Amino acid sequence: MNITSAHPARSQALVALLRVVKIALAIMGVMIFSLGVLSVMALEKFKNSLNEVTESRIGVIAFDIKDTIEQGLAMGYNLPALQNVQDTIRRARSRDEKISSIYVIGRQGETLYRAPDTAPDLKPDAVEKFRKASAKGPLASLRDGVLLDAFTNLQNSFSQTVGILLIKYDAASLEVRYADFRATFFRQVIIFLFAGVVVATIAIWILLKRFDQVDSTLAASLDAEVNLKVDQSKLPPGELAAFKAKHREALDAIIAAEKVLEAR
Amino acid sequence: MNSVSLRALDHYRFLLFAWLLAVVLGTLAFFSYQTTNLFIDVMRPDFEAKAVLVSDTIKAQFQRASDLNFDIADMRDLSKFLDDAIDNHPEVVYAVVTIPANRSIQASSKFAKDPRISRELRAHILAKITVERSQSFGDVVDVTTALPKLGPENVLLHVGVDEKYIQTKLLEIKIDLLITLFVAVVVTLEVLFFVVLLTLDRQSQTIRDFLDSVRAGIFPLVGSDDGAESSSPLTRSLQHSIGAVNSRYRKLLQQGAAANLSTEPRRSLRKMIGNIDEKFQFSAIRKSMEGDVTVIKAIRLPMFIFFFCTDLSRPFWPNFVGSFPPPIAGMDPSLLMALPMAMWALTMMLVTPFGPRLVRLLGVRKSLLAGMVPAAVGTLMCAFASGYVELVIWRCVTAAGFGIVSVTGILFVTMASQSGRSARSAAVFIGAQTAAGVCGTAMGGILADRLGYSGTLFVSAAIIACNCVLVARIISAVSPARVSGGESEHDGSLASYAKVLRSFSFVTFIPLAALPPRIVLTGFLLFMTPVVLHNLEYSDAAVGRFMMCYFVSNLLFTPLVARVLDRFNCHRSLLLTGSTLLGGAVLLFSYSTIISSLVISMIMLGLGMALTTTSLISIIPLQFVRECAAEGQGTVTSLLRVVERIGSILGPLIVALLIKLSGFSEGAMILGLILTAIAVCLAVYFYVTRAGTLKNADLGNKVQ
Repeated sequence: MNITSAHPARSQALVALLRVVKIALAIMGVMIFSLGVLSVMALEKFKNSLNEVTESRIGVIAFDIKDTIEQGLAMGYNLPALQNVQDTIRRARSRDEKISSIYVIGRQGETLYRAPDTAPDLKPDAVEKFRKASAKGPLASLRDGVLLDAFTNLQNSFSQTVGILLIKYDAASLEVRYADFRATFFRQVIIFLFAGVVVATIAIWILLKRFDQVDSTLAASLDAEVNLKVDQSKLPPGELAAFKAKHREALDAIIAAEKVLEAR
Repeated sequence: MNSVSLRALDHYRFLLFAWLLAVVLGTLAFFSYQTTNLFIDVMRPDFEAKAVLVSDTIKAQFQRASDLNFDIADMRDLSKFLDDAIDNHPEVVYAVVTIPANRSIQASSKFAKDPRISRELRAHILAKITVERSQSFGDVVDVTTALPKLGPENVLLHVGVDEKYIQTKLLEIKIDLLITLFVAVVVTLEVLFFVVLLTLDRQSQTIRDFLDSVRAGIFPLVGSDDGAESSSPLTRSLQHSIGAVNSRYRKLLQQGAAANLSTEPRRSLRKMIGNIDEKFQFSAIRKSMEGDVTVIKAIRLPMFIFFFCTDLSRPFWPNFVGSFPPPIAGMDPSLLMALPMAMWALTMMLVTPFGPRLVRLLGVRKSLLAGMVPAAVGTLMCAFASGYVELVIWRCVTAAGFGIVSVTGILFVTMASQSGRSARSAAVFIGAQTAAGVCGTAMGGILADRLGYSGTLFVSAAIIACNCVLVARIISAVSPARVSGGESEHDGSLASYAKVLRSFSFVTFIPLAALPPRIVLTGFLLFMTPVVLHNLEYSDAAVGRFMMCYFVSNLLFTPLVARVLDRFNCHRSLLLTGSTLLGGAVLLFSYSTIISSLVISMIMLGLGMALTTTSLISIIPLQFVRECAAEGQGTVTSLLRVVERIGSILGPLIVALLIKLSGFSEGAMILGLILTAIAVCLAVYFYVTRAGTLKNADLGNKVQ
């Protein structure tokens, strides 16, 4: 499409419009990128923080049970022989309704205590997984579908591992909270994107219009003056004046030569 | 009309840029603010719930004691028990058991010394209160709970929770959001520069070109090749006016040649045309784009995108390499990770000397493409590499491409820059590289978490491929002749390198000036800093934040330094200051490990790097005028880049050796002392060569 040919005024408007659209699209691209990066980062951060705080809350309960059991072990009892463990884990489970079950697993991987009593048996490969991961720190955690498994080693007074304490936490509530946060966040992103692009487009429109007006005014002045429609003595000062003067000088020199040619 | 001038065009161009920047920044800043508030609203109840849980846990333990018929009033030395109870909960400041009736108190061991516990709070704990409540004392919230009645007395449990801990956790989130915001802003600025450049800067530049030409008596040839410029009425008007004069003069010449004039009028006409030709130049070929600021700025976006893509792999590259089985059984894992990095630097070092010749043969556009295509292919193949050796080979291909693009970019800005603007032109390149380093590193980590290592490399290769299209479109106006104009014919040949290396002044100056910044960058910043900070038990995120201080300060100081350099022409002083600052920053780092010192050290490092790198590129044509004139500026600049690459390779090796011999702190101190000694040597060099430099500067001014 040759937009500069037939109708200069209309093509000028079209060019100006295309320029506004081009810059607005670029701004929209920049904002989508920037808001996208911020959103990904914020959502990631939220998810991590939520998991961290939840694990830390589970940790309070886990370390309380661990202390109780290890006090018993310190008195010389074996883990299977401790009588207060079942009560302890039952009470601990009642402190947070999101705790799905609590297990105390023995040295051989056998389940010694569980709350509630109806909690399903643990698979041997899962126990092995917990045993390996629990070596990483005081409280380790693994995600298993909607459940968050938090576990810690149980040690006797000689720092020998005699079992594992496992708390299964219902993480579906975390997923729900994350989904709510994401939805709120997404609405916020859309609003900010829309508002930003609209304000930017208005600014682009107004400023480019002014820019073009100045450009046209200068062009009109140039057209009028270089075509001798304006008296040279009335030329405005500024950048165009020097151009106009030089232009006039060159044109006068050519006209003088033309007169010699015509006078033959 | 009198009030309307070309300045109004510049004014509106500036307003457009400022407004767009304000709108985008405002939106992003407000969005970040809202996000932080949302975080606080959602997360605060979780933190407070934990504090209550800790309190309940301690209470439950006393309940058990009560069940066993213990009397707390009779218990002695509960501090061990209370310490155990609050252990693993960093937000809990203290746990205290009091019997208000007789004001007896048993507390966790930190209670006596903790500065957060005010006198007022201590008085509150000892007061004869009997009700359960929470009350704030400065940054500490005291949660008071009545314990089960264990004896004849009322016993209270006080648990203090540090509110600042919650704020600290949220502060980390805020800082991470701010870093991401900073990355977004840098990208926004790059794109805005480019958009305004393409839409308005070029138009203004064309108008100014026309006006300047005519003012000098040159009426350039105008035609249909002016493209986008024809959209401006003023440009069209100027074209029309100039075109009319040109055609009138052409017509005069044709008519004069065809006319059958007698001797006198012919002589008169010839004289008049001779006078016109003396004063004016008609239908002249339009002034080249050499020295055109818009062309130099236009290269910034493609360079930014390219460096951004190559830096995407920076945060995970060692881990990615480590995931491949070693080609030789028993190979040391650290060597396994270091080898591709060393090969990268070595390949770039080998490729760099061919840069000037390539630019002369192919031109800037094709040279950039000749670098970007192998870089894209190399990155893509790294993503699909099946073995360690294959990975190293493709990494070398990427490095070769990176080397070509890097040297072409720097040659382009140094050669195409106008006299008196060389530092600012160099800052365009350095700024793009630094900004890309900040954004690429930050984004690389996020992308790797989401897409995996191979996925991120694939994205990187795809963006480089798209960037090739951008380069082909933007840099098309710059022909090889324009950039290599004024260069030596021997530019880039081995003989010319040998001749430059015979200059005693050059071989003394370059290692003193070019090696320290690279050793500091690769050895100290990228290698020693993370290792030392990890050793001080700072988390990965904290290390990243410290390093961001360097990148941010470098990014902010680079354009400022460039302006100062161009304005005051004080290259040697700034280079010397920069070298001294680098040594000072490393010494400060070794001397103190408190957070404020580390931050100041990183900021000093950023400023020092901005001073040295910007001064170094622009000092070359001034300090080595004869070498540049005889063997070409490209040759001298390439040699500088080669020495820099050697510095990049040496950096980690020197630092590793220092750490092995003297440990972290002493190693950093020795490195700082070495850098300071080099700065002193550089000062001596400048003092000894000051007369020669002044002569060179004069010669340089004459050449320019």
